[in-house]
Amino acid sequence: MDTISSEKLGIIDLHPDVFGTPPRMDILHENVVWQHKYRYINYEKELSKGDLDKRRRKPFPQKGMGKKRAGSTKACNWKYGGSAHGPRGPYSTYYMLSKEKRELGLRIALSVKYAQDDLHIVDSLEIPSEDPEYLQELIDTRYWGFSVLFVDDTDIMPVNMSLAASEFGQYNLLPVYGLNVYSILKHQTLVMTLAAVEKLEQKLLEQMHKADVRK
Amino acid sequence: MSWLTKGITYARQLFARSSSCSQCITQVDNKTLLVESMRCRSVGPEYKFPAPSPYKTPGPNRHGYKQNWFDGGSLPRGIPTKVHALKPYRVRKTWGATKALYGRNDNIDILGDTDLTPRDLLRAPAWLKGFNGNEMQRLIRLMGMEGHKIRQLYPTYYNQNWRRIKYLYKKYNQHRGKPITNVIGTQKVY
Amino acid sequence: MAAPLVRNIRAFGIFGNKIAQIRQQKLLFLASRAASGSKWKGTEVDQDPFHYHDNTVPYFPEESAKKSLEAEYPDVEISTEDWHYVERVLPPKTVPEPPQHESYPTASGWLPPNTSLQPKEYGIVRTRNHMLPLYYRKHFHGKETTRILHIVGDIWKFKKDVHDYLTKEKGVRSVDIQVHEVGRFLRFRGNHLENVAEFLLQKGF
Repeated sequence: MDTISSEKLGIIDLHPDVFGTPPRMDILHENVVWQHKYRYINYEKELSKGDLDKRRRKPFPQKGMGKKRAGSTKACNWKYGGSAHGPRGPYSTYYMLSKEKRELGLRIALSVKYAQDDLHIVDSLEIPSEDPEYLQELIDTRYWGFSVLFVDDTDIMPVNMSLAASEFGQYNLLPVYGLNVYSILKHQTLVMTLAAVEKLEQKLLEQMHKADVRK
Repeated sequence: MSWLTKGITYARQLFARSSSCSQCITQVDNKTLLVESMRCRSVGPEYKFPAPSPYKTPGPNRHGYKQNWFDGGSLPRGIPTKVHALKPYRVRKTWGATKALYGRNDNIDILGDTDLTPRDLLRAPAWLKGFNGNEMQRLIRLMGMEGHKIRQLYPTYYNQNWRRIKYLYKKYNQHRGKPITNVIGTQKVY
Repeated sequence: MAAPLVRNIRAFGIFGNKIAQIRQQKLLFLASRAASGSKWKGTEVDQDPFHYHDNTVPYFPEESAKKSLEAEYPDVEISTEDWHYVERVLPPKTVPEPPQHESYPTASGWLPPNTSLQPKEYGIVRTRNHMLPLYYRKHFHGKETTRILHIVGDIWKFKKDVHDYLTKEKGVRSVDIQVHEVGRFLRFRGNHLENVAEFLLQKGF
């Protein structure tokens, strides 16, 4: 990242279980749907017949008024009456996807990015200047596309990089523990440091070969 | 003989109409063209401003009358005052602060070093955090967790909620032999 | 002084605890000032461990725990010399690699994968417990199926080889096999668990 154009520094071995899994669309979809649903809360509410603060009496006598028969003014067919089958209170659509599927989704997303040549590995995220134009020029010359997700080992990012990326919405920084399927798919390219790749491989393989699956 | 007199008057009217129809015949290039049908003519008032008569006439007869239908020309629906159209297209901020990194830390239990789970990072009301249940279970959790506050601040809301729980308990167990006993939640706060 | 609007302080509900804490802090502050005698000296109050924590300040429980441990037990030394005895008892996080036995198959009948026998066109990944990914299921209405998971490479060639082997072994014309190319597994109709396992071990998986 010191120069604008890319330089080849070396060759590394990527684990085939992490970066070479057969792609499955359904598991990616399940992951994304879960990410939307497990945090969603619907705040819609409508008052029912019992919740209204209205008089409970019979509005007018049963006969002799030339009107319809009515027991109360709260009924749902009345104006300003309660709603019969309305949405009731805030509810959440929370559910937890199994760890196996989430881990598999991560592996699939990474291997898909790798197969499409959208995964790049760099030594570090340090750039010489905090000028955002430098970062823009770097990304343009390397053909990294519109949006880039930079992933580092730690959550303390280099100053120049964070200052330059803060000018743009589409260039984002994430630590390894913040990585997920949605943001991998949302960004066009994925740029990872070497330390991040090693840590990611270690964590995913640890999860794959865990002794107790539940924990 | 009333039917006879009626018939005579009706015939007279018909005759009068046919005579007025003869007025509608126009001459174009020495050829007579008849207006196609009488029915299509509007029966309503067609005059705009009557010619001033030399004689004294009783005041404005149609004073205060409002013509509800349009009589101006070939615009049956009138002139719309407001043009209904789509709103101007608004570009959504897909890379704003909230949307750019949506879903971060969702796999923190796999990739993180601590024992944190994504459930711990949820931002929601306390009684809904990581809970998916029906209305009664939700209400019972609400009253168990925040009932003492609601009772002090909004007493009617407090009573309504308990009433609703009672009602739902009956409703859910209507067609059952035994009522549900293992309801998730805490005890009622008095 | 006018009467308060809400007589019962519990009517605040949410703020009740906080008000009590603020009052307590105020009292402590006044007491310390009275004890010191001067107005500005002695404003530092010893921090109550159960004091109200300010959310704007970052809170690190590990560091605070360290400090408190040293403060409480100053004469105790922390040594990690005998920790490996504990580590030996603790269950391992990941499944360990199998040890090298003297002869195969082992007493339980387990065989390690033989890389020299494996064909190049296709392969099978063993499970995390170093077993063959073979599964047999008996459905509710008596239907029986067997499955092979985690197939890598040319799945159609693999299917053909399995089919040839099974027909020869069982002496039947054909065996019903479903190939799931995306899910990377084969599904057989009927119970072919032992025959398929023999075939896989022959191929060195």
